[in-house]
Amino acid sequence: MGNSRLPGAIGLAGEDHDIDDGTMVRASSPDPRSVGMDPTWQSPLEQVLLSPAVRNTVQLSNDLTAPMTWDSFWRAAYGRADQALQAQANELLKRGNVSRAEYDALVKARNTLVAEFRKPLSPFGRAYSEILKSSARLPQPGELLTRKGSIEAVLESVGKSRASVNRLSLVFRVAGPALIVLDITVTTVVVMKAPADQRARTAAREYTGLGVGVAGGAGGAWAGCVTLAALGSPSLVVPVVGEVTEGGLCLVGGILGGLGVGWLGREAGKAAGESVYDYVTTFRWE
Amino acid sequence: MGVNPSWFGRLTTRLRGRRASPPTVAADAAGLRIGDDLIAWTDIRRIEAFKRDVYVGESLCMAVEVDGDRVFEINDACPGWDAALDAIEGFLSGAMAREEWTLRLIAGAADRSVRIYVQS
Repeated sequence: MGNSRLPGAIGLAGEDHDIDDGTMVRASSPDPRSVGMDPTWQSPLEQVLLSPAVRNTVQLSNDLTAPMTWDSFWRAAYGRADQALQAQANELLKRGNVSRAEYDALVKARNTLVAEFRKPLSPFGRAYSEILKSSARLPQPGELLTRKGSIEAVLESVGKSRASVNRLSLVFRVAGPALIVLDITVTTVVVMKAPADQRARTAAREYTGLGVGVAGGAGGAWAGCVTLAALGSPSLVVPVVGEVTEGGLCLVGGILGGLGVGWLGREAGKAAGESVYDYVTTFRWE
Repeated sequence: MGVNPSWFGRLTTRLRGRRASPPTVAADAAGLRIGDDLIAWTDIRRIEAFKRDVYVGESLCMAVEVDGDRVFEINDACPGWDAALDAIEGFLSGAMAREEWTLRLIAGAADRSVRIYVQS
């Protein structure tokens, strides 16, 4: 065998050995220790920077939009069910000679459909729905209708109202689920960034805050809606803004109430979650 | 800004969960009675049916235009709605049959109204 030598210790006979110094670290190295024991090491999740402004914006928005998102999906579901009803009515019209019993059955089915789809609505959704129903007597001569022209003004107003409700509903259907996911994600990041010994307590605080915040937002939206809508009258005119309807006031009140009470609910929920956690973890049977 | 003076009353009514009750509709030979107003049949110029978007669902409504440029709106939540529809068909000659206009309204697009009656 080429380049062989007798076994034994090297460097004792005074001969030179070529050792490649490029394999050695020319800097100070950390002391050897077990992997994962470094207290300064952070997981990638803990390194996520979360601005308090972003966090608060997401949480406040979700408190407000969660109940409205729920309602907007029910609106979309009703739209689908109504298409079936429209098709049925069209069939009867094509056939002609509709009996009173058939007519009554269709109207009853429609009324049941409306009633059933309104049952699961949030308190805000129910209040808004009530408000959108017509007033018995529309503004009389000398008020806004005479400037627009009787029935046409009613139909125009109905069309505008429908268009704005459609837009609003679409916004909530698109933005709502995204905000819910974002809020849960942000809340989870807040929990994961907490020191390991505080993580359970932070989780109790943040997730309770999330739940109570959404509930507070639902209650606040309803309270804001009915409070501001009660200000409305068929001829309410605000300088600069112009004519204001009860439905518009309900929406503005709902947004303000949802934001305000949602925030209060979130803070109260956080405090409650923390207190409950502390009580449960320190409780000892005597 | 015109603020309704009965705001507190209306607010407490809503907070107690009471609904603002729609006006009662009644009809006889004298005319159509909507709440406290009596509209003579001969005063009715036009009646149009339409659907009002109530966020989730729709309300079947009727706008009644009378002499003097007044417009009344009633809907299917008004007590006496059914009887009033029959009376309109019976007392206003040339009015569309209720079965027909209701079906047209239900079958039609959301923004389409159905003309029930026009004074000739």
